Amino acid sequence: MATEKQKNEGRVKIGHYILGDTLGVGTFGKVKVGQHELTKHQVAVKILNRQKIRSLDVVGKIRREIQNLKLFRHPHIIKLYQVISTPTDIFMVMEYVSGGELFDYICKNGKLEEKESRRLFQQIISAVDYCHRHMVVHRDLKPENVLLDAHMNAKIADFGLSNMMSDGEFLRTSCGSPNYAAPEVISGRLYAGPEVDIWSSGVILYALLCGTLPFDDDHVPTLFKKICDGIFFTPQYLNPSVISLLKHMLQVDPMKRATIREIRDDDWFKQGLPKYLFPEDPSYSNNMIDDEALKEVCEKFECTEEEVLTCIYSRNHQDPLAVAYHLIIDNRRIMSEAKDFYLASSPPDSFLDDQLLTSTGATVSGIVKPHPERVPFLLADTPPRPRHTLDELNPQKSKHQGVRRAKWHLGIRSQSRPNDIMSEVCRAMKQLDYEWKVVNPYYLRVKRKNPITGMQTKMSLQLYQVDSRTYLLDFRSIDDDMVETKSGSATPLRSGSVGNCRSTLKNDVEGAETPTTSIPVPLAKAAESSLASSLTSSIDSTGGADTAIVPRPGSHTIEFFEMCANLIKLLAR
Amino acid sequence: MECIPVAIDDLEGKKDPVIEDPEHNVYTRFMKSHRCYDLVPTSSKLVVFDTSLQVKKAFFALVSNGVRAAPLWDSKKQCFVGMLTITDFINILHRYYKSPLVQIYELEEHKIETWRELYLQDSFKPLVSISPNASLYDAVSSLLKNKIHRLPVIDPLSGNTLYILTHKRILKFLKLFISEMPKPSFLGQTLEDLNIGTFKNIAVVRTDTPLYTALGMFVEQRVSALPVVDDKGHVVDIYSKFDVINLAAEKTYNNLDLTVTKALQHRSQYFEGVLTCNRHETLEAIINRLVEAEVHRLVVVDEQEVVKGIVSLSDILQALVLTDGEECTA
Repeated sequence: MATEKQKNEGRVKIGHYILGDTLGVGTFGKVKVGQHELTKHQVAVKILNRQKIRSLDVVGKIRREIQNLKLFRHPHIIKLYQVISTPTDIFMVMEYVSGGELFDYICKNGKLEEKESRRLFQQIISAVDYCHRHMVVHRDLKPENVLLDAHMNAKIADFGLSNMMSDGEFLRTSCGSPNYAAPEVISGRLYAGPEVDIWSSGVILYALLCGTLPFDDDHVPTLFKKICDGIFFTPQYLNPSVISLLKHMLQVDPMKRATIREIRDDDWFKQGLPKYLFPEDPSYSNNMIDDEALKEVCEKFECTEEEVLTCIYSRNHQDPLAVAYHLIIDNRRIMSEAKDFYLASSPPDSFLDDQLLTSTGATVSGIVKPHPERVPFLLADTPPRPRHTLDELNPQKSKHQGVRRAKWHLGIRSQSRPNDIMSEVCRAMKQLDYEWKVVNPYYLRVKRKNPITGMQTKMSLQLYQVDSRTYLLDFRSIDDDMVETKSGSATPLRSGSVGNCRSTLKNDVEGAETPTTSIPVPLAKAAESSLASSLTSSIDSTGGADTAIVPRPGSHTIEFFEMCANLIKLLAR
Repeated sequence: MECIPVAIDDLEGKKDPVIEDPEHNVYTRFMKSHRCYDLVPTSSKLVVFDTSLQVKKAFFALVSNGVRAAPLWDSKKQCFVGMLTITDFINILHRYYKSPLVQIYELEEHKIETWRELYLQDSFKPLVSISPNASLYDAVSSLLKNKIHRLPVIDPLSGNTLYILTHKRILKFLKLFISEMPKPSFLGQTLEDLNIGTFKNIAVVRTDTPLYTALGMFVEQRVSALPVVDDKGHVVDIYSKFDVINLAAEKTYNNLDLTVTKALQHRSQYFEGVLTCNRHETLEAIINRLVEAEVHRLVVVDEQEVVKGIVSLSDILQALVLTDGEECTA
């Protein structure tokens, strides 16, 4: 008894957890086992050195992201319970699983059976899908980050962490294990979107099935070349249908690489797929604001309801506040479906316990005083956001008080690499069934046939460089059809010149053959023309031009806007 | 230019052979000879709402964009189906308001499409619009005949809404040219002589009338403004439909029990007083005042500032454009 006490005193305590042995050393720092001083509940504590976290001035943003990781709730993602911050380190208190790393398992036992590989792979894809839907890309998926629980279920660790590091730092630190990195990651592109996780998942699937890595070489430059060539050896024992899936996932061109959706539709993947892994797609309809979820976000982030609502209304899905809001709604939905999980095949045992544990934890902290270390951390560093007051809604008042008003622009700003932006755009357009013509790599002409009106809407996309790092994708409506087919008739958007207008007016007066198809003139020009003459010509709008023109169904401009909106929506996802 | 007399003879000969005053219908002819396109500004703001937008957001958007009406786009049908105006806001508030303590649930819940479905009750009301090539005469007729205040100008070639035409814009346009046109004699006659305006059953509110009652009057009597009168019937202020949108701007729509006076306080610093006229003023003077002040109506008062009637832009346009000369001069 006394010795144990002594032993504990000599140890570091984080929150109520006494730190124990080192479990491993990862990209971000050491992971130690922790034990609750009273309940003996075991956790894993990841110690992040602050120096590894990108520029401290955006620390507030990182904290919101970490805060969000706490809301992540998925049966195959390691749960983050608590974040404790000190001036030098950040401690992440996480779920502890006893099965160790998938990497070690494969090393010890060799390749897995196809069925078993598929079961784990399905769990991994489910977890990846969940994170992507909540705007988090792992970027560093590898068997070392896939842990196993006591029942051989996969649990992905470190989701969201790589996002907190600057890209340079990320690449430097991940150079130790590039075997899983997608070609675009090792080739130094700064942008790493969801498709990098697909690549890594493909590598993991290969490792599960073959017990080896698809791309491996002791000589790093050779390894890089192998990855960028994307050619890998497929052992004979592999099922041909899984080979095609592997090839689809290990496509060097991120554009051609499989998407989650495509994987889910894959026949090999679908076999024996437990229902709980892909519950009904939650639709984030923001038509109805969930008050409870809203309050919860406000409590957790110490912000006002307006701030959260602004994010949701502006469909700024990447904002941590919006992500948190959707996570809370999602979690509740999953909880209500949790019973089915139990009934469904292979329910992960720890899942419901976690739910219970965290939900009671939440209520306790809500009533009892919050954790002492957490309070100043959140209060002090919540960055002040622009307040959205009632006045801003009133244009008169906002003018008077100089409140910043919403800026309007139609386009997308991005700091990704230009090629990556364009490939993202093309991928989204493909999904939307748009057709396009590449005028040059950064200038596309796009068209879409409206299924309802049968009309074609055209637009052009041009990528501009705004500054050294920022690019702007500009959308422009193309209305050449109108000019081509109806030249000469009234086209208000392309009004005639002054000379033109005079001559047509004269035509009217003289009672020429076509008195009613004159080009309409802009206001100022009409004023210019002599009143006496305009008085004499009467416009017979029931005959003439209007009946000759069959009104176009739909609206060119609105259809253009819809075309842009659908694309932007997809890209913002 | 040489052809002018010929053309006039043509018109006169065919249409109005019996009229003696050649200037009696000068404004009608002016309106017939100009297109709606002539009124469309080179650049202006147009806000369009998708019908799947929540009504509450739509009203906030009207406020934040400083527009009074927006064409509605039905994405499923891929066409414009109607207009959203302050009248919709008033109807929703009036229909669903219960008490200051109860949030107006329907305002939070309705989308534009669900609201319209309920409001229109299956009665198919196609969007009233006009082509830019149609004459102003047609526009005036449409505004008056359909009893609407916003007439979208839709280009038949592109299907785009170009502009939203109003009485105000048309009268302003007419005013630009009025000095160049021969002056018909009725411009010098008084409101009383011409019998222009409404003088019976004038809807008014008192300073302490609850807002909810005022909204009810907008809905039931279909008027666009209510003179606010004191105990003696003197006009002290005016509460118009446009003022209602301030409830959205200030998010104060949850309490409609407050008085009209209270509701008008927000604009006290900008408000320059109720614009009035009397029945003995000439039509010309009335037009000038309406156009200069950019208001939709004048309150007609007697010498004691007691409300006697209302003269609105609709009345003026009706008199100038649609009525044949005889009725005006009779």
